[in-house]
Amino acid sequence: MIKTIKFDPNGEDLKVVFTFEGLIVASYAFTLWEANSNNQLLYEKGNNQNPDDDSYAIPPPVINSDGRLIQLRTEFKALDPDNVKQYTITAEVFQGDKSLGKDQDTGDNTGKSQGSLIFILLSKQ
Amino acid sequence: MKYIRLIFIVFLCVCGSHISAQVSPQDTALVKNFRLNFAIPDMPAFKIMGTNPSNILRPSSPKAVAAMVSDFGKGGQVILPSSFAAEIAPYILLKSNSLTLSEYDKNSALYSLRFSIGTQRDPENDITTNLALGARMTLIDEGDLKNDKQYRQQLFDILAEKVAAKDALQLQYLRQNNLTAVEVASNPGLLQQQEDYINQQIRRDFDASIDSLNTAYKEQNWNKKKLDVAVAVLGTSPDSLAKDTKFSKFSIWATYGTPLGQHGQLLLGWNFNYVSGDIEGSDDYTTNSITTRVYGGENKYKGFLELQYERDENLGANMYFANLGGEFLIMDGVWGNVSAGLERNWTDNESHFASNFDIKFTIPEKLKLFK
Repeated sequence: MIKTIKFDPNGEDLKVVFTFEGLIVASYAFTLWEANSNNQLLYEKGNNQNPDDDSYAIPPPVINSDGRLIQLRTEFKALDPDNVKQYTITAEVFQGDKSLGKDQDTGDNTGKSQGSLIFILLSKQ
Repeated sequence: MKYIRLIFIVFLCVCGSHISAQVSPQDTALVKNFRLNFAIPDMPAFKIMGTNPSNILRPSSPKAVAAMVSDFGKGGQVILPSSFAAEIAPYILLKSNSLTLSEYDKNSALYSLRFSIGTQRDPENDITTNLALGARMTLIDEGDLKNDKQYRQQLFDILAEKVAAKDALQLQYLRQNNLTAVEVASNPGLLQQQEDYINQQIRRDFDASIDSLNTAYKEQNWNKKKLDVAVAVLGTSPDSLAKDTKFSKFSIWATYGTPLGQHGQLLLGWNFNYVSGDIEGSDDYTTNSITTRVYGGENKYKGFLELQYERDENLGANMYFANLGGEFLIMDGVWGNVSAGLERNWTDNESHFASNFDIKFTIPEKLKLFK
């Protein structure tokens, strides 16, 4: 389900950070959809091998992010479902260094290939 | 004390009855039949109590919690077991569901760190109590896919292709239905329709590719090299309440597992013991032993042959031990281990027969310790 996160249109730049917990191997695609359109402003592929590159700047100016949609599609597999029973995939939006909010997908690790889809709608305060 | 012990055993049996099979459905016959995957844990805090003349400490995969009981016989009668031990992996318990892949890579040795605690009532006098603490780490584990970067890269690639294929079909769905991503994301019904469309249209069976990758990995790596090291300390108390516990023994183990052909496994073990003379009324002394064990059979029922040499400085004797045994699955997650062998003091030219029966448990697979 979609989650709405409010930002200050006159504040610092926005960024989104993805984290993958639960000892999983995950590949993902981050799509930033233009407001009320199917234009993809950003389409970035990544994986959770290195957490340092799982952070993405939302293109400025900040005011233009009103109505944009963040989509995180992840495909993953748990490495040790016997001991690590659950996964949590998180998309967290920051304005500068301040966290504005996050959306999470949590579920059981099955040991098979699994999928996750997270949506965040950006909205000005 | 007997009631506590009885409750403990019943708890373990109930836990064990819930544990699901340890061989996953996609495993091939080869893996099912010959994956000697160290299903039964051996715990340092149990081993130091000396319930069995064998001094080898089996390598094992870390489990969040495991337990075992032993010493079911006394004077030819079946009795409540007098030895118990439990083992926990604190890093797994602490991090559990919050563990990320990069944290695991930085702390994979810590992931394998396990602490065990054991207690034993002396079967001879039924009063003296032994208490043991142990720790163990796995330093080499070439058969563990968690540590294999090549396997992980292949997995990343397949999963990335799956993501790309799904995203392409998502765009196709949006254009065909003249919808925007926001409209679909805001409407659970439309979102379900979109995902159903994607899953129906996706051409390649990515799940089969991943299963195939896993199966191939297990077939090639199930018996790869493994090295475990462990230490334990034993204290002895003159009463059943464990008061006035005194240091009794310190032990170190190192066990190396290596492939023996395509379907076998060879274990080589070393064990050093420093024994306090206070308990036995003698001088402190040391023992050293080397053991080799060969496994064969199927995963659920396998046998082993073991040969051991031990130098006992207290007796000034060279001891030899030949042991035959078997391990069998009693019910899911509950294993029996029976062995019998001949221990011979070559210096004094004396021999005696030794037998052993253990039951070992692991935590129920379906039990969630943390949300």
